[in-house]
Amino acid sequence: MMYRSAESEIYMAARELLVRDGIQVGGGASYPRVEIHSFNEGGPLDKGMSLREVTIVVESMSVSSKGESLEMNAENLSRLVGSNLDTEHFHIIGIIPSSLTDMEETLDSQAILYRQLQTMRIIISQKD
Amino acid sequence: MAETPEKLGNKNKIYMTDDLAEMPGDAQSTDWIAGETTNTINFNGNQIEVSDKSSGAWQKFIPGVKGATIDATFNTLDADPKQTALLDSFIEGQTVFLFVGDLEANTGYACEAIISSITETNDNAAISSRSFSFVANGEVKRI
Repeated sequence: MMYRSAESEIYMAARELLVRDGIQVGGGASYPRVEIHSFNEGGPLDKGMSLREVTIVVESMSVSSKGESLEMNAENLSRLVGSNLDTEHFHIIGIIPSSLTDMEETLDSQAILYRQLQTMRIIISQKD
Repeated sequence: MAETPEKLGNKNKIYMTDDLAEMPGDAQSTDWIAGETTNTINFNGNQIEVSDKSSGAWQKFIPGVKGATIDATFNTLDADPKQTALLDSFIEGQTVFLFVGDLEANTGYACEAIISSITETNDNAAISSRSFSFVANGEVKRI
């Protein structure tokens, strides 16, 4: 089995599930916006180098209200947790939500930016 | 300086063979028990005390019978034929043939063994694992 990095396929599959009307997903600087804030692929967890754990942080940003950012995060969770993210070269064994961080920042425009940073663990195995 | 470098534990895998591996070529890469995360082989030997009045203040021994145990842990793969075969062997009381070692370097240990215990662990939000403990049944061949 040739070892492959999962980043490209898993990132794209997750991003595709997050896309919906009225929300900017990735890129641009408009709000409300959802981004896959970071992607961390761990090393192999078995001697066959198949099993791995990916940690992603999905960020929901709103300049309207904290409530909107929380609703966006809830929608992100409902789209990702329990979904079938299987890709060409990877099985998705499980998506497990972990910590949620709530932040508020003041932008240069004096608007308040409400941010929710949801961490998720994705357990994957590479197909043969 | 050592003539051969250290190596990763990943190289020493556990294989379930059809017969006792007499030489490294008898174990094939396809015999690997998939999902393996770790293995441990432990040798032990009995000591027979032969101290007498000439021994002075210190005990004396001659070596007795030897034995070995092997422990291995796997990510649970319900459809893997080797893991399934191990479960069947335990239930049916059959012995299994194992090779623990490095196929590329042609080094390791081969033995017939009985399965002494199986532990399945299913923690919340973690990969399910399956651990087997084996006891060597007879000679352990060092290859």
